[in-house]
Parts: sequence; structure tokens; C-alpha cells
Amino acid sequence: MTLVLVAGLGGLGAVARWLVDLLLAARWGRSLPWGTITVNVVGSCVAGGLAGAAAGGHLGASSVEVLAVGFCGGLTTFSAASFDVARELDRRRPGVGAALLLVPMVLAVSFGILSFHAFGG
Amino acid sequence: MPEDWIDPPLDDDEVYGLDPELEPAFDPAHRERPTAAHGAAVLVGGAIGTLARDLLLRAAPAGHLGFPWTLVSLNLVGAAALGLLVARVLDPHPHRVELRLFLATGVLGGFTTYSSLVSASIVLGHNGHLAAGFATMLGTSLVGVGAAWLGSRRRVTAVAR
Repeated sequence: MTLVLVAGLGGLGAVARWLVDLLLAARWGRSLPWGTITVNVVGSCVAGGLAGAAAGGHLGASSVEVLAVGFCGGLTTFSAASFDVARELDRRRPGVGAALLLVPMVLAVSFGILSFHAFGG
Repeated sequence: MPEDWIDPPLDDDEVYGLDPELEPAFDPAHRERPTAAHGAAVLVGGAIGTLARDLLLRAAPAGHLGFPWTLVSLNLVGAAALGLLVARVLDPHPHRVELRLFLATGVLGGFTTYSSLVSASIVLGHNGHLAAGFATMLGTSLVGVGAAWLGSRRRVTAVAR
């Protein structure tokens, strides 16, 4: 049952990522991957809170699996984030590539730590 | 004075001078109109990718000192696979929108995860393994870029021949 929920929420997370990407690309264009940046930062913040709740004993293992591995995992993506940076290097824009690697990372980890502690970690 | 002495406004592609060889199928400037079939491709692909990731994580949980080898490895494999997929399949066939949404956005997007990498790094740091936490986050991200870049090299096989 857990596996079904993980897969289902993973699929829904992926659809949410796709829609956020379409929405932000329509608004701000595709010169930067706004959608991927946004879902990765937001998803990491949520996952940090879930990890904190789990560490504090407020959330069971299967709930964490469904919500963190399933939904947050499907919502966020490592492959596109890596590819986006690699493509900036190909475009001879190493500064943009470095920013694209580091800025979302610092934001994701910072918000993740905040919510980890906020939710009992 | 001629009217057109000022250049017309540039669109993004001109501003950023894209190499035509890199002309994106993956981030098409040609706006796609989302359909239910597109959504279904992302949904099913994302479910498959997420399920595969969860099964791998169940089969091989965190190892020595809780270092998330499985998570790191599957992310790196996914990044390389995306580079390969874009260079070999999606760029040469830019109009296969559903294939891109199923395989790239869905399967590989669902298979790889950024949030688990972040939370695993935070938990490592929280448990006193700060260096391992940094290595997981920054190291995996750097190697991931290299993996995606290597995967997208079209002539790697030509060199090997």
C-alpha cells in the first residue's frame, strides 16, 4: 500500500513540477529555469520539515516515505538541475552556471534547516 | 536618418546567442500548449521514476555513518541519463513533446530528487557528520553537473573508437 501511495504522490509531484515550470516560464521566460529552481527550493523546505518531524518522533516511517520520498521526491529533481548547469557551461556562461548551482542550493539548505528545526528536529 | 538605425529588441535566444547545435528541445522556446495527454505522460512517468527510486532506497538504505550512497548514486545516474537522453533523442527530435515529458520530466525527474539530497545532508549535519553533509550536498551537485555534461557529449563514442 505504501508503495502505491509513493508512486501516486510521486506522479502528482511530477505533474506539479511540470505545471509550475509552465506557469513560471510563461511569466518570466526560459532564459533561466525558474520552475526547477522554485520546486527544488520549496520541496527541500517541505522535506526538511518532514525529516525534522521524523527525527522528533512526530511522524512515522511510512508517512515520511509517502510524503518525502513520494511527493517531495517527485516534485523536486536533481537531473534537470544538473543538466541546466551543464548547459550553461556549454553556452560559455560559467558565471550563470555557478549561480544556478549555488543559489538554489544555499536557499534549499537554509530553508530546509529552518523547517527541520521548526518541526521538531 | 533611417528609421531602423536602432536594432529591434532581441528575443532571449538572440541575447544569449545559443549555439544552433544546442538549440533546445528540452527547453523549447516554441511554447507548448499543455494537454491532458501531456499531463498523463508526466504523471505516469513520474510515478514510475519515483517507484524505482523508492525500491532502490528500500533495497539499499544508507550505509556506513548513514552516508546516503544509494541516493547519491541514483541521482548521478539520472543526471547522466538525462544528458544522454537530451543529446541523443530529444534534441534530434524536438517535436516529440510527449516523449520528452514522459522520459525527461516524468521518469528521470521522478527518479532523481533534490529534496532528499538536501534533507539527507541536513540530517548528516544534525548527527554531527558535518563534512559528510557538505560532501553529500555540494559534492553530489558538482559531480552531477559533470555527469549530465558527460552524458550529453555526442562524440564520446567516436573518441573511444
